Amino acid sequence: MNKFFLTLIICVCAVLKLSAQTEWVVPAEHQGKLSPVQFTESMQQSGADIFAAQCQVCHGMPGQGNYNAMLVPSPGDPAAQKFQSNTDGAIFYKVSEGRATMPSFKSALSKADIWNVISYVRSFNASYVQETAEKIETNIPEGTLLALGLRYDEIKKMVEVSLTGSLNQVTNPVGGVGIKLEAKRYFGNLPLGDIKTTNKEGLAYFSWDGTLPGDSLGNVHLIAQVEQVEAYGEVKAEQTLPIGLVNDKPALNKERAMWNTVDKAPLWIIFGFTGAVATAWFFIFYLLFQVKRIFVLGKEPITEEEKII
Amino acid sequence: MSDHNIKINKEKLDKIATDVLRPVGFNNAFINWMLFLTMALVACIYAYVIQYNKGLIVTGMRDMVSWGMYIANFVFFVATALVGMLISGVIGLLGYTWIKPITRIAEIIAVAFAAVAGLVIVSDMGRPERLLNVFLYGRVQSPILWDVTVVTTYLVISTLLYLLPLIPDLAIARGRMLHAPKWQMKLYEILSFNWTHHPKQYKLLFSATRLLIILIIPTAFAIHTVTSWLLAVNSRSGWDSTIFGPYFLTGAFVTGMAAVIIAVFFFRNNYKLRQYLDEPLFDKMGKLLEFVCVIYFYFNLNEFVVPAYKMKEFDAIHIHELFAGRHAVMFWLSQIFGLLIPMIVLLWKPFRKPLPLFLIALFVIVGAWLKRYIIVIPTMEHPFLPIQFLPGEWVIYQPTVIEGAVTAGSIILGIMIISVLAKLFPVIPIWEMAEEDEGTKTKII
Ligand code: HEC
Repeated sequence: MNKFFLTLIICVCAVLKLSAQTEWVVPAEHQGKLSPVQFTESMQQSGADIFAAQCQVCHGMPGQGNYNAMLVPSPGDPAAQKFQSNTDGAIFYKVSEGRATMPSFKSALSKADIWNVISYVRSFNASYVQETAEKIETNIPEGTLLALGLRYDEIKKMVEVSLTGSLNQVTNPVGGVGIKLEAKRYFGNLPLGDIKTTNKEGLAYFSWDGTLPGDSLGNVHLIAQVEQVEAYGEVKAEQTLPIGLVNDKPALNKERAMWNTVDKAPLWIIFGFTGAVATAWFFIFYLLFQVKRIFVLGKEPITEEEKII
Repeated sequence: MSDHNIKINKEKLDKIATDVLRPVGFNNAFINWMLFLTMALVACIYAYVIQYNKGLIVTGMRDMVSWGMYIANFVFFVATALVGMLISGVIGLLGYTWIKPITRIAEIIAVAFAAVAGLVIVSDMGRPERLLNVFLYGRVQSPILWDVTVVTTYLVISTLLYLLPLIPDLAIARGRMLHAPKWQMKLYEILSFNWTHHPKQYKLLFSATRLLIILIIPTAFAIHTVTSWLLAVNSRSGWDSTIFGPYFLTGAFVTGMAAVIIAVFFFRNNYKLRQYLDEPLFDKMGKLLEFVCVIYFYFNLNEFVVPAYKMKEFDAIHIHELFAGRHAVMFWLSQIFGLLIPMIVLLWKPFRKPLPLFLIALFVIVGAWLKRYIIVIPTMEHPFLPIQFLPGEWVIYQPTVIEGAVTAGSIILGIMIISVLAKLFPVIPIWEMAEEDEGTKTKII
């Protein structure tokens, strides 16, 4: 009996695993998400660049079918029916979240970038007709130009982000808008804390304990953005501030090492190699010297009893 | 050893000198043979010229398999060259005297194969005119630099070990070969270094040769261990092995012994030297081949059975390819016909007679070449990191006709060097063979 249950459990697990691999369910609320703007030629262009740099290694060139077939589940060709049958919202969700080998690009690409890639991928689908999102109403008057500022508040020990809007040459602080703060890292950006909403003075504060590793001078590259791109458009501020942890680790090629250049090779290998070569060639030259002695001896007379032949 | 007295038997010397010097000299048959080889070589050089002009794209090597037939062939050449060390060095130092008649033949093979091995490496370079950069900008951490250094050193030591014991023979030949062309006599005069059979000269020669024989052992170990490290310092399946050094070294002894047996069989018949290269000698060579085959078999057992037992993920792919996959035919051919069957049949004396032994050696040497192919290529086909955007035909290595021709050219060149040396100088050490037996068994040793 035990065996029966065991078999059953294994079967159920196998089926679950199989279905988990074949279907990638996108939550309903993400399915219908739409781009706030109509796709343009220039969006496609920058989408193509992003695709070549970030997606092509696995997905191949759209339409060529040269995606990496070794991956399970298969990434598939972006121009193929299966890929294109996703709604815009579904693609946006899948690219943002990732699954298994498909990386999450949430922090590596901005929302605008992801829309650019989608516009590029859609250009391989002749029957695609784009729908755009309805304009979201905000409490800011039409035509206001938003701008973000970023600085470190020494006294509060906080990063201060300020949002202002200017209309007809009058600039006012803008409150009630969600701001996210990120630090630039090697792969993508690192979110710092939760999303903060600007106060009446248009300011949002992010606490800072200074433990984030920076470069050798302690510099950290910070990016502040308005969270709701769909409503406010892309508003961004970037700033490099010397508020990180000073990274004083020596460069990997500073010390003598196997992987370094010759002049920084490990001493034992320099001595080992040159020592062995020098020893061998010392004897070779010694032998050549012996041959010379043989040559010189040829002029010496040989006595009768010394004769060998 | 330097205090022993050498005595050479005059009558014996006369007889041996007559027999051994008879085939020396460029006769018509030799010239025809060389013409034939030259024509074949020119065709192969033409193939190389195409490669030189167009680059390595004319070979089957691509991004994935970037070491192909050339590297396999290089390993084969280095392996064969080691026999000079095995015969003169190891067996000689152990005090065996039966090797006397074949020491020079072994040394000819060592010199020819070591010299060509260097060229084979150059043929694997897309920009051979940058060869000097390996020395100018080489990194001491790189086994590639160790390899070129040690191949050069081994070639020099082997050449010395070939030339030094030749000195007395050339002096003997000068007085006897009255019909030889002038240039040949001039060459003998230069290379015999004023040799007058002075006892002090013999003393110097003995100590020099002895030093060389000791020196050649670590150098030969180094040359083939470093060749194995070119592969073994990678973590790739099939190469990532701690026994690769001894595995290559023992494999080299097998290959080299087969080459010597083939050469000795040839000289025995064509040079009419049956009296010196006799059946007991073949029996001894057969036993030595059996011995090195057994050791090599033992290393093979370790090299394949241990990973095949564990079947680690990537090793499993590799082992399946060898045992039952695309390389299975070549793998089993080389293992069964090139090692297993020879190892078994050599246990019986009739198989150690000249003709059967010669045939066995042919199988062994062909098997050895295939084995090098099996060691180099299949591993390349399974990199750890997936390589993207490769057209299917780049993933699987298929040597091209040009590669085949260049490789054939290297073998032809090796045979040409052996042919010339064997016609230019006596192939059996006359003075060592004519030595008085009493008390002074082994002069050099
Ligand atoms: C490391 C390899 C890899 C990279 C890089 C990668 N993907 Fe994927 N992608 C996959 C894999 C594998 C899947 C299948 C995942 C699954 O089904 O669980 C996939 C699936 C997808 C899907 C869903 C396809 C479908 O048929 O539903 C989309 C959309 C997608 N990727 C877009 C992208 C985009 C856009 C990029 C670049 C920004 C990208 N991928 C980069 C491996 C990758």
